[in-house]
Amino acid sequence: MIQIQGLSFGYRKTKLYEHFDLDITRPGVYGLFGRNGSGKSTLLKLLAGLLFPAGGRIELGGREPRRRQAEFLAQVYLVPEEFHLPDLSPDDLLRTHAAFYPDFSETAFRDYLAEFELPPDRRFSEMSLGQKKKAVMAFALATFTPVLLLDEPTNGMDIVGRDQFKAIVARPEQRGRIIIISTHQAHDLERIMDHILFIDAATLALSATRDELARGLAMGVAADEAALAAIPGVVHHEALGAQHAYVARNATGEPGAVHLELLYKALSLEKAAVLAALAATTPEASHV
Amino acid sequence: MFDPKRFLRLARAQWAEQRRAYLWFIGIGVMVHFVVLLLLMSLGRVATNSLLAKDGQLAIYIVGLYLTAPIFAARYFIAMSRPDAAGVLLMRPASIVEKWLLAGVVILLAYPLAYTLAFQVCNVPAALLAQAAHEAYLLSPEAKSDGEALLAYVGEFGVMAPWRAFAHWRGLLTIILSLAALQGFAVLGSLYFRTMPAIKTALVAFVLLLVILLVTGLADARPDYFLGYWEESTEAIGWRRVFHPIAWFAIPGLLWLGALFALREREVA
Repeated sequence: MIQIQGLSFGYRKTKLYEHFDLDITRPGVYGLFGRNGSGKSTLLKLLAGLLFPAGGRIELGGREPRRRQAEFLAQVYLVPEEFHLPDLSPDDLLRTHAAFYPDFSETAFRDYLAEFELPPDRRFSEMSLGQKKKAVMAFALATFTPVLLLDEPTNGMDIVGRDQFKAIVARPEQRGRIIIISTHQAHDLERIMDHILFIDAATLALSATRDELARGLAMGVAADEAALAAIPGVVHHEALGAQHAYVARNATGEPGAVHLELLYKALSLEKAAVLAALAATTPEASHV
Repeated sequence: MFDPKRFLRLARAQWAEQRRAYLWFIGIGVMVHFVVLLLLMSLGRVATNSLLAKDGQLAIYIVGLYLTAPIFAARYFIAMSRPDAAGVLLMRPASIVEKWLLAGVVILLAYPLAYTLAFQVCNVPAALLAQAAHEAYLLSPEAKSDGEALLAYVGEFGVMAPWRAFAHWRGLLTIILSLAALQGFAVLGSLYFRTMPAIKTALVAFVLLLVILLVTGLADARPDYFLGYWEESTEAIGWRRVFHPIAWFAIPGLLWLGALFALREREVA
């Protein structure tokens, strides 16, 4: 469904992508991670056709995003971090914008609005930022476009709103599409992510399923330094008071817990060691 | 590339989103017109004010149209100056041609029609008032002393029908093509410049004007031959007979084509 081959892109002298490849064929929720300035939002815009690659090729459903054909635009929905909503009500939005998306579900939209506790007849200008975010998410999720791109989807939402969002994304009707979520809220959204993509140094440093990560790496908290020293293959650790959170090679082969925030930090600070540990146990996970 | 159903859907969405902004724009225009008429009526004698006669109303109508139509055109894609709103506009599932065509329909067709209707909101009562004052004046001894020369100068009073400006195809063509060129320039500027598009477009227009003045001055050219090409009194000779009509159509055509390409190539960082 999504194919990127040899992508290169940059802003003036800043090179963001060089020989970047990505292939997504299966539906699911993909978490897109990377440090600030690594180009996560840019990648979403490249996929949506809002930015044009300097080199290489991007295809979504066999179409080139940069051409922005109507048929392509009906297959992709992007919610950027700073989003815009016209001064309408959700009911107006449904009446005037839903028809652009062939798989749009009015039932699902009303259901999601109810889940988010949003009145369908209130204008967006009368809503708070968090409510607007929920409204735009309800619409985006109800479009049922094969590809949904979300940039920091829970920013601005309260704790209850985040839970509501996660509950909706985890619903069975959302399982048939590719949802790419770019976020720094790793801990917040890890429960709903099936696949992890990590961008670093202009390339895709890691692409692995949660299962591969669970089988390849061991993550947890050691009671003290002595306990930490007893864990084989530790590649990253950090102090939590007297305790130590760690990422290690999974020596047992038994799937363990995946803590995305910890993995994110480990990848950001000890990328080579983490990837080596993962390669030793799960060679199917693609990484450089 | 073009799907009538999708185009109507696009127009519906555009209207739902922008109708308030459009009505505000027209409303402000009506208010400005009201103030202008109020000044005209309070500063001079209504009965003999030539700007309140039919020809005067027509002049105000044309000036207002030429002033507001490019501003309206420049504002059509105002969302493009904000990345979040630009993204929504560019990602709306319709082809680039449909989005561009809708802009053309709204700017070139709908706005002049709406302007014409809005113009009459203040113009009709003001014209009727002026007409009544003028008729009363004609019966007064004052009119006799003022003489026929003044009466001929102030012209006919009554409500001006805007289509008088377009009664002849030459006048109609002059207005349509020149307005389309101005609007096309404004739209192109709003799409081409990412930051401060209005100021930059105005600046480019100013520089362009200076260059044209300089070139025509140095070449001892007569721009009135070109600008008045469609008037019956202007007779084009030699190469101008071919070049002038081509240029009259090519300038707005190329500007609007440029806007299409600018829309197609627009990126949102």
